[in-house]
Amino acid sequence: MRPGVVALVVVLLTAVAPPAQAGHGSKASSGDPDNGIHRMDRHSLTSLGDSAAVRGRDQLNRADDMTATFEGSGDVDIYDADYGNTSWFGRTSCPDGVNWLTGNCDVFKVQFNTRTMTGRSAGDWLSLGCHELGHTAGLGHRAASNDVDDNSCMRSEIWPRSFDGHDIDAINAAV
Amino acid sequence: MPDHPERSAEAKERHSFTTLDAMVTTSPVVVRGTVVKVAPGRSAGESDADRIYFRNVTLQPDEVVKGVAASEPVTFEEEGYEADGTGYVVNGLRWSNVGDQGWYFLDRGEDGVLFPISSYGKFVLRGDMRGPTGHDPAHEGPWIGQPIGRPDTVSAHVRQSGARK
Repeated sequence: MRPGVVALVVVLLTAVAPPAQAGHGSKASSGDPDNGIHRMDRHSLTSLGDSAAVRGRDQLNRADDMTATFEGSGDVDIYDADYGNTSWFGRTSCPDGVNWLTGNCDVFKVQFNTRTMTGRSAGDWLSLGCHELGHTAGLGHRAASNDVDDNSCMRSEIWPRSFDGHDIDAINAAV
Repeated sequence: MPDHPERSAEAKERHSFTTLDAMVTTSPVVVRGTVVKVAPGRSAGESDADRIYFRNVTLQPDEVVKGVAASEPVTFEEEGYEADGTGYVVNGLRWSNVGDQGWYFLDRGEDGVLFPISSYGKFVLRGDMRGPTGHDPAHEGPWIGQPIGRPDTVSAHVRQSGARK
């Protein structure tokens, strides 16, 4: 490839790259939200699942550029059920696929596994709600190396109940 | 059902390992094997909308470090398919294909069902995509610092970890 063409490709790739998210971990492979409004449906949740969903909504609303609400529908579907013995407590997906051009997801699906959460505390459910709803805002997982205060619910191995400042900044950058 | 996944799900996992030793120690089953069969498995969920479908993967053990008999095939569950049949992976845990050979680090549910203990719980030695599974395994999880480009060394480490259990 000629040097001029290489330079053009670099410029174009830079132009469409997502904004930098200093201090945050990876991006969620389930995609970014397609706008700053999350209309979320709770589908026959258990009381603990409902408390998780409420926690997730409240945490999302800490970001200035995000409005999360249970009024209306069409952006996030939330379920809980006995999904059996899985390696996970909760999962977030984009069943219709992430737009390959924009990296956005139109409708997210969040699932809490009541089987693997059996015996976990009510506080852990709040953390799980924060974590999975965080994925619907484009947040990936945090590691101990970039959450030295152990205060991000996007960690997998501990159970904080809130986003930290880096999470909030990343949400505002994603929407 | 499709023969390859098209979607990727994010998940908060039950185990977050930072060393290979920890993954070997915690896994009830550690086996090097060859995939001889992949078939549709159970489904779970309370409605058509949230239903997920699993894949049953059968291994013929080539070497057992712990947890199963070397002479018997081992079947474990792998995810999966969404409600509409679209294939997905969780946290970068790639699908198994017939003919793959690798190390499998499996958990066992109270119902006896085996499943990968972590999205990092597979190291493919022979197959289309060799090496460890999971998101960014060279920089996150139990494979950090492991010589993942030298599978013989990885295998030796797994055996040594198993011997210390």
